[in-house]
Amino acid sequence: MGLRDEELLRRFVACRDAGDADGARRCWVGLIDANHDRIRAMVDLRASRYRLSPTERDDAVQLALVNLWKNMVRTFKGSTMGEWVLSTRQLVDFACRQVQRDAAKRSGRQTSLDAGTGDSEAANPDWKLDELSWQKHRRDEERGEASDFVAWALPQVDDERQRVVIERTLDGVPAEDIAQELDVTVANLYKIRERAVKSIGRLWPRWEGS
Amino acid sequence: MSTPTDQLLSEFIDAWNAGARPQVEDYLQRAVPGERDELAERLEDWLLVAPSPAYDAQALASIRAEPGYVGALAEIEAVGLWPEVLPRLRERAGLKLRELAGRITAAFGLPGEEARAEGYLERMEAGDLDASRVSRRLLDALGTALGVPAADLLRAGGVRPAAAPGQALFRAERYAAASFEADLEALSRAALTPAPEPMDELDRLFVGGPDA
Repeated sequence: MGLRDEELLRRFVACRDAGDADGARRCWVGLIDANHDRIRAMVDLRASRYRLSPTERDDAVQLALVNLWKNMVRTFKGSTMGEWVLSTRQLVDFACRQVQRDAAKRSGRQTSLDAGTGDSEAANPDWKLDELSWQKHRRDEERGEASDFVAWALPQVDDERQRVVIERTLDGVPAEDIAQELDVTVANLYKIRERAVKSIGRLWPRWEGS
Repeated sequence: MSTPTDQLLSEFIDAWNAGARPQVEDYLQRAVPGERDELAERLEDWLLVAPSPAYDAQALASIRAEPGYVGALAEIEAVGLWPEVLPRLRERAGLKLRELAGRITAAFGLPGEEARAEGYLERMEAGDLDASRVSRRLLDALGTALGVPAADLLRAGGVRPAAAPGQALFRAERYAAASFEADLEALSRAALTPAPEPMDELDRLFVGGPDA
């Protein structure tokens, strides 16, 4: 997530607050140009859990994008991509679940156990999104601009080599170049990089709960 | 032959950073079956922090042609910013939804229709009403009640010139991909169903189109 994303996010909020739908839509398109594949990949990672067919994956992407727009239009107040990506992940979860339910209704197919049925969320899926958005904004307000996850998480990765690897990776440096820089084999670099990504991933619950 | 997860993760990351649009499915398929969940978790960890790649023009065109993207954009064009703008303007005007509905029904001489008008207004504020189907007469009345020019409401709705008939016919709707078959069934049922009740004045105001 580069500065460009953050700038688009800020512009979106400014256009929205000025009632400029076309401007807000242009910023949203820019954000989705840059982030469609992230959302698509998140859907694909959930596809087997929710037993989504290829066309249902497309539908889940579409629903996640529409809900993302609605949430951004209604309630989004922050300007950091860390929070944006995190809430996007929640929207992807809901979208996959919703598409699975809708597909089940159409075909009589059973939903998976973790999807649940008959709850208030199923009856009105938006309530949960609204509630999560509200909680998120409260956290945004509490933590302000310092809430960017990566900036918070990197110093907390204890292993020096892992920290360097994740920093260089986030800068877009290929594995071979990082391996050369650290004077390790590419095979070793793969292992360090995997551990580094895992270390960063483990920090999310702490950040969300902080 | 399966590839170690650390290598697959790194290959995915490098392809991602290069803007090569890697597909997670391809990488999961190459993993040892027992290690796929672990790889999926690492890929998700990466996706949550990954920088947005700098896509070239060809990649960008492919992204914009993705069915989910096309369908979402079509839906969003119908909603605009009303879910954000309308409640804010109503609050500023000090009106409850029911009171605003009362202003609208009074403006058009439709006593007794307040509850239905309120329902329509609620849908407008929720983004569940197609902005392009709302009449200009209604927007004028709403603008008067809310103290803003109707043109500002149009702008916030993101309403654009009406699509040509062909475009309108093929505009994507939610679940376009999966529901094509269901649509065909619905069309055949519709052909055998009596025509719906004609729109009354209130319907025309909210969903009858800009000239209604």
